Order: sequence, then C-alpha cells, then structure tokens
Amino acid sequence: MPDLSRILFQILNGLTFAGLLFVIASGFSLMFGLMRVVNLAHGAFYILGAYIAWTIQAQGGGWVMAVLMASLGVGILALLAFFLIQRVEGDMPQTLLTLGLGIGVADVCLLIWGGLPKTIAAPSQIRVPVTIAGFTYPGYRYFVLIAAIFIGFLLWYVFQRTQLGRIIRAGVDNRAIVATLGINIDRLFIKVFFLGGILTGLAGAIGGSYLAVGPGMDFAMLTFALAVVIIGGMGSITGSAVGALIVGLVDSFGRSYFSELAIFLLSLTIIAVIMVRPQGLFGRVEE
Amino acid sequence: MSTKPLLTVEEVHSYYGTSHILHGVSITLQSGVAVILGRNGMGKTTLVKTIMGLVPARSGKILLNGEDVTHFKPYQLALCGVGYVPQGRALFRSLTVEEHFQLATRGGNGRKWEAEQVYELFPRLRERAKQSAMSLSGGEQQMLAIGRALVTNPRLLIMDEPSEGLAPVILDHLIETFQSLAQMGMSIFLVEQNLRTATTLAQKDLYIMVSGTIVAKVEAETLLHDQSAREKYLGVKAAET
Repeated sequence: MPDLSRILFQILNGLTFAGLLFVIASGFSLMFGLMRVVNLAHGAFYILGAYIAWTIQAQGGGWVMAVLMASLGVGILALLAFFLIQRVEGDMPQTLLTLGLGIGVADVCLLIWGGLPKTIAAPSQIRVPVTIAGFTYPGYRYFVLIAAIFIGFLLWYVFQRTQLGRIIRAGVDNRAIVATLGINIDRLFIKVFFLGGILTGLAGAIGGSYLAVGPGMDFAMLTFALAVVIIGGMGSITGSAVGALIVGLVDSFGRSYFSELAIFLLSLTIIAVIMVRPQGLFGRVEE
Repeated sequence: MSTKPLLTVEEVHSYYGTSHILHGVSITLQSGVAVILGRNGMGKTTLVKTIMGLVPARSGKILLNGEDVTHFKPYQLALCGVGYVPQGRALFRSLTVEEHFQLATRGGNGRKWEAEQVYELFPRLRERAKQSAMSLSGGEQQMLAIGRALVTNPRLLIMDEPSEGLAPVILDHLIETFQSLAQMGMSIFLVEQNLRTATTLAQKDLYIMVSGTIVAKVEAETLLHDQSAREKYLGVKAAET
C-alpha cells in the first residue's frame, strides 16, 4: 500500500522535525516564561550553532567535538546576550534589543560563512538507512528523534525533581515571590540563558545535518520556535513538547499534501489555539 | 544580643509609578508583635512591599537590627531573616504543597522550621502534601503561605492581610497560631484591616495608617472601647467589629 507508507513517512518526518523544534523551543520557552523576554535572536543562535559545527568539521574536527563546541559556543553567546539585555529596562526595549542582536549575528554569519547553504556531515554509523518491518527511513532522523526524547526526559527530570527545576517553575509563576524566599532569581536567569543557548547550539549542530543551514534559516527557525511556544504555552516543558509535535506534524503533512498551503495551515493552527486558549495549551495566566 | 530594634522604618516615602503612596512613614518594632491597621487603599501593602524591597523607597531609611537595608533586594532581605506572607497568598500554581516547602526551606536560626514542623502546626497540609497548591481551600492556602515563609526560618514574619477572605472560624484558628508563634519568640509585623485580628494580636504596638501616613499609635483597649476613635481612623461602626 504505497499511500500508507507515504503517511508513515510524513508522520516520521513530522516527529523528527518536532524533536528538533522541541530542543530549540524548550530553551526559548524558558527564557520567555521566566524573563518575559522574547529572544528574537534565537534563530540566529540556531544558525550560529550549525556554522560553528560546520567550521569545526572543516578544520578536521570530529562530529562529537563539532556538536560540543556548537553547544558551548552558543551557550556563551547567550550569556553575553543576557548581560546585554540586563543593561536595558522594560520588556519591549529588551525584546527589540534581541531582534537587533539576532540581525547582527545573522549578518556576521553571512560575512564569515557566505550565502551558500552548508551541511554538517553526520557520522557514517548513524547515517545509514534503517529498515523496520519493510519500511526504510534515514537512520540519522531516528537518531535526532531519540536524542530529542532523551533531552526531553533530562529536562523533565531537572524540572520536576531538582531544586533548580522547582525554582524555575515557581519563577515562571511569580518571580517576585521567589525572590522574597531568599532566592537570587537573577542568578537563575543566567543559568537559564546559558542552558537555552546550549540547547539551541546543539539543535543547530544536529539539525544542520539534514536541514542545510544558510541565510534566512534564522528567521525560519525563529518563526517555528514562536509557533511552538504560542501553541504549547510559554515556560512549560510539556507545552514545548506538545507544541513541537503539533507544529512538526502540521508542517510535515502540509508540505506533503498541500504544499502551497503549508505556512497557511501552520498559521491557522496558531489562530485556532489562540482563539480557544490565548495562553497556549499548557501556558498559565499570570495573576 | 544587641538592644537595637528589630525593625525601624524612618520617614519612608515611596511611589507606585508616579503616584506618591507613602508620605513619610515611621515605625519602630523592638521585638514581638506590631500591627498596622488601616482601611483599603491606605498604603498598607505598599509599606510592606517597600520594607521587603519589592517597591523602592524614594527616601527615608529602613533598618533591620540596626543595619541599613533600605536598598536591599528582596532576596537579600529574606537572607537577613525576614519572612513574607504576601497579600492574596501568591502561591505557586505549578508546585505542590510539599514542593513549596522543598523550594523555600533554608537554614539560619538553627533551622527550627522544616516541612515537618509546619505539618504539625497545620495538620491539614500534611494530608494535601502531594496536591497542587491551587486545589486547596482559602484557609489551607493561607496556611501554606504562612508555612512557606516559616521554613525560611525568619526572625521577623511580615504578613499582609492574612485575614482576607477567610471564614471567622478559620481566622480564629490562625490568630491562635500567630499568638503561639509570638510566644515561641517569633516577631511579627502585620498589616490588617480586620479590627478583631489587629486588636487581638497587638496590645501596645498598634499603629493606625491613613492615606500613606501613620496617624496614631494606640492601645488595643482604647480602640476597642472608643467608638469615636474607631470612626475617626477606620470609618467602622461598632457593629462591624
């Protein structure tokens, strides 16, 4: 049944894209939920991660090294962005600052790496096609999906079982009250920005192996991350996971069956969610 | 031990945006219980938030055990031993009862208060330990807000209208709890509009706040028996007590 395998193929495409989106959006969502700052440089962070990984490989470095350096590099950039944002007051000026930062980083990337799309070579062991029950699908995409699930569990554990997770959850609910309990919430923001940067750099390095990175990719990824957070609700790991699943599947099926309407279908989904739950599926209304 | 007052507020002015709310408030709490009594909109919550560092003091001084804490951040104040029970509880909706204690428990003062001691004080919270804070009744939420402040092991507990929205029988239980906390040596700074709560808890250090200033320091007895004073400061009729 060719049609069934096409559907299965689209489901897997949607799931693997969702995995990538989840890794990108979970950091984005935490920054958003905690600081009320929409980090519009997030897409630029993503492509920078991919470019760093590509450069490490071009210099002869291994794939693992490339992924680690991309994560660390973007983590450090996120820290710098944090200190910059701290110098400005007010949600809107801070958000505009991140937009400027994003455009600046993307332009510097264009200057350094040029306009031609770049692809990161994944290790040959995980690049082979995998056939399960007669259905063949790229092994690397399975790897992305498994890696995303693993990261999801790790984040869930930190969120639900550790003091850092409790502080983050409480901070999303009410920052001021967390501070009155003797917790230095500013220091928490630093950790969350660093973590968000690491996750985004990681996503860039992993995603760059099957979505070629080039100019324009920054805004494309930012748009997807925004869609995930709007649908899932800000500041919630579960929301990021569910939002990423919805966006990944809508995008995958949209591209395959109604390719002209793919973006429209995604927008329609966002509108439908906002009409029913303006705070997103797992978002909370601040008191 | 020093003989400096636990809390001193000196001529404090503060603003909410552009509106001038506190017009030179001065209060001294040696130790024990002090209550600020006033109607809604008189600046009580702003006073508490200014002490906690949540609203900046434009001028004036706030001292804690003689140390100038006027420009301390909220978390620094908490580390100096100030516990805060905010108006409207402000519990964390993503956290269970138990997680509130895990989040807030901190050393200092020999770590007298941990979740276990709070559960002994409020046994109903133990039954609800695994539940979301939002599933609790109003009284239980207030108990949790108090417990959350207690496990930070404060020397001074600042409470903003704990009586709000509580049934009389639950309020009675809370007042008794405050009295036993005070007997255990906890200093309490309370802002209230509930006359009964205020006069039961503070016999001497009872301040009346009107329009952002302290207009009088009265004795509970006087206030309870002087209807004209009550009407003058609080606008309450005897029947409403």
